[in-house]
Amino acid sequence: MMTIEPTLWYHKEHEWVKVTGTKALLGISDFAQDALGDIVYLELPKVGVNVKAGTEITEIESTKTTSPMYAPISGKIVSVNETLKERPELINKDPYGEGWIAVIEMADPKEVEKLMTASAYETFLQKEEH
Amino acid sequence: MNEIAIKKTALYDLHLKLGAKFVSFAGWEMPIHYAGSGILKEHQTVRTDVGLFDISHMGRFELSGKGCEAMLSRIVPTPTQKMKRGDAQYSMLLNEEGTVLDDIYIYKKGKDKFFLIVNASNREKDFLWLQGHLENPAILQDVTLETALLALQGPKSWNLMERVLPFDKEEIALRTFVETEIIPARGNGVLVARTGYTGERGYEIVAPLPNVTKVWNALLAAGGELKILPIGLGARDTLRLEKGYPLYGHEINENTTPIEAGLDKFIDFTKEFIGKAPLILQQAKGVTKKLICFQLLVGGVPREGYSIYSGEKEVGKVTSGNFSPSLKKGIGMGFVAPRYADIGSEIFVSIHDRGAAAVIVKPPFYRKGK
Repeated sequence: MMTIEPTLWYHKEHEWVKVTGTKALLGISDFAQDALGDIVYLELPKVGVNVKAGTEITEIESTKTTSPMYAPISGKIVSVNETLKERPELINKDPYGEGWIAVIEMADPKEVEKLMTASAYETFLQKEEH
Repeated sequence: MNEIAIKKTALYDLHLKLGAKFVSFAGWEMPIHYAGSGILKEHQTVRTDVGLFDISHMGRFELSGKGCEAMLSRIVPTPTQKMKRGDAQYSMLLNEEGTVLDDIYIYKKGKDKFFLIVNASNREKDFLWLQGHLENPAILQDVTLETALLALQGPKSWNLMERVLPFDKEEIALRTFVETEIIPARGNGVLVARTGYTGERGYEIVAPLPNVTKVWNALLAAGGELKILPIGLGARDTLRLEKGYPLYGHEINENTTPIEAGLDKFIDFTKEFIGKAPLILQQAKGVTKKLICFQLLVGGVPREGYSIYSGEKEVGKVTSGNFSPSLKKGIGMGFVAPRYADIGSEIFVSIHDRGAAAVIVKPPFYRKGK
């Protein structure tokens, strides 16, 4: 079964965000990793770069396809999950945990409210499937 | 395109039950992989154990009638005139310009009796082409919708076949294919061929429709101890790519000759066939593009359509690319001008606006024990 972590925020391109103070931890949802299939490579986003919500920050490569990943929130990338260089499959195995992708220092912490709550994301997924 | 109904194989409901994820391929709704395994695991299963594929989307023709042997030999460029009963041969259909209409497999069932397997996307085109070049009393029949085609591939495929074939195993060792039956689905009259598209030991099995579910289930049941898995088209593609096998519509098409695609070794220039003259001319003049196999030296996954560079100069395009599950590297094939095609040359593949370094290698990418 597809899981949706209840405490996270979700972007329409299937990224999730976990807010701690002014920092946003982000990754892709279980739905997204399942749709991509086995993830085999990603070029990690560059630390120090300023990104705008909704813009592409990297591509995720699976055995099936190449899929762009979008910044769910605006700010500066302050850290990336270096472990994914060697073990990109962590995104499949633990999308909300060990498969996190980056941390953004948010430009405007209120921007997170533009994202979907877990229940809104669930409704959104149901609509996407139909 | 949308008006054409999506075709489903006879095993579609079974695939659904097995948790298949589907992909539309040449108008057919086919499993890309199954739930709980994924392309990487399915790939690995075929390399180390055994896997079962439904490839019923591929076209299947029966060719018979007095004199059809000689007619077929004049149509295709490979030495079908040398085939004996029980032989299988990789072949092609070429047009008058010498470019590839399709790559096909020919099985000789007996004197003036052949079975042909063609690509799903080219089925109608091939049928019309063959029909147009055959004469009375040759009869060509499209039996695609009356039969199913399964592939059993992997090093343990023989252990499995031993359990389900009713006769002495010597017989299939002697021939490339036999007409037989799969136990316990008795009386099903299947055709078992020692062929495949994975580079592993394996078999392709043509079964008449009423029995295909029984045959599929018998193979899965007999393979239980051998860790058999059903395999989708995703792994079929990564498996063939690791062996450097061409795929129609990618490495070969109507703009490409077998010489350019490195398939000239299959051609018999001692006989007459459609497209021979332009090929002889091309051999004399030299080709302007050549198929290469390359392996990335850095992380990344090359894909069809990406540009290939030699230094700053764009020299060609990728025709197939993916991540090699065995090598754990990006690999691909593509066409470049011959002067850039030397084995060992360094090239760059433009992946998301960065130049990923790669080296040209001799196929196959993957060999057993490496």
